Amino acid sequence: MRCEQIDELISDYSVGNLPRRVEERVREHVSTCRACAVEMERLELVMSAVEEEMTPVEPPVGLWNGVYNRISSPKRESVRDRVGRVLLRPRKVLSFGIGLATLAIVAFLGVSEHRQQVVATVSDPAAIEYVQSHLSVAAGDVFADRVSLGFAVSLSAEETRDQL
Amino acid sequence: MQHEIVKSGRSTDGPVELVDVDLVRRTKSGDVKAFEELFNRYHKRVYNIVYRLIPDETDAADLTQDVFVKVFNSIGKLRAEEAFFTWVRMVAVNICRDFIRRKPPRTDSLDAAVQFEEGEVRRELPDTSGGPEEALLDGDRKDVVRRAVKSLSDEHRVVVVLHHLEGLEVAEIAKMLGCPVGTVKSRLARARDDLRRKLGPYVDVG
Repeated sequence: MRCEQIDELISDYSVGNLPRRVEERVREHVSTCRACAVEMERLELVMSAVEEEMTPVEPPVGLWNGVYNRISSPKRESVRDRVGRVLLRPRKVLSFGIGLATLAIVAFLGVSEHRQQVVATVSDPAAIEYVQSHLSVAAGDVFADRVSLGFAVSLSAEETRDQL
Repeated sequence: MQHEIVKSGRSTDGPVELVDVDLVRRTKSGDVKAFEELFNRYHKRVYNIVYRLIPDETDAADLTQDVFVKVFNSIGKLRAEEAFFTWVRMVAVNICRDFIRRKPPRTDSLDAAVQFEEGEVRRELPDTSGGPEEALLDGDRKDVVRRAVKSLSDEHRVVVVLHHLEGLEVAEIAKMLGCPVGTVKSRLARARDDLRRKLGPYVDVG
């Protein structure tokens, strides 16, 4: 190995960053070459100088005041933090889910029952006849719900037969 | 709550000192006075870690405060109370790295070599920051060394500070920075190379 190559490898050698074979060749060369040995020593002296001269400095006065003011002031919780706090609590999430499901079931049942009740209250024949004629007219309307109207008409027709 | 109070090595007439573990526990339960004591014990060391990584007094002061505010707010998560300073040091290094990442990037890499047809050439851009030579004219070796370390790239300076000034092993640094051991070794080697070239003329080889 030439001295120029060794010079490029000295720093890697000093931190153990070379493949073993290359490391051995560098070591062999340095043990026999005075100039490269001096460079190796120079590197070690430079790093020692760095460790000696980078002595601790005094921090500026008043650092604690800044820290104290910040840790003492009331924290504002962001919307994100608040939502995260709620969503990350399993019990609350479960309770919320059960409540929502219950509400949905009650609402569904309530609407269904209400629909049937609306159809079943007409029993007077005159009223039934009135409803039938009204429903027939309404069926011609563009926006009429033909399925529910047809259902209502058939039910009121059954009522009329029963009455008769 | 019972607190363990351990006497220091002083005579029984002297004041009783609390060990860090006790101060950490008190801080966890909201005792700001206990945290102030921890601050007093460690703020100089933290400031010097930060200042060596971010060699600007104003930035270093601000970042040191950021470190302690973060420590206070997160201390509840610290399980190994006896490793308090190890954890604080990691917080300091992470805050410094975040600060470095937020800095405007250099448009030109000083480490990359330039390719020519004839081969590769290392860049040598003029250093206008006032190199070691200027400090030497003032006769202050300390200044020479500080300027040389300050002139390192951010990546190189971090590993030099952690290894040579904080005394951390390469494996510890790799774990702290979240990178392979080989990467830390490469950065350390390049940093040493850089320092050898800048400071080599100023050391006396026997």
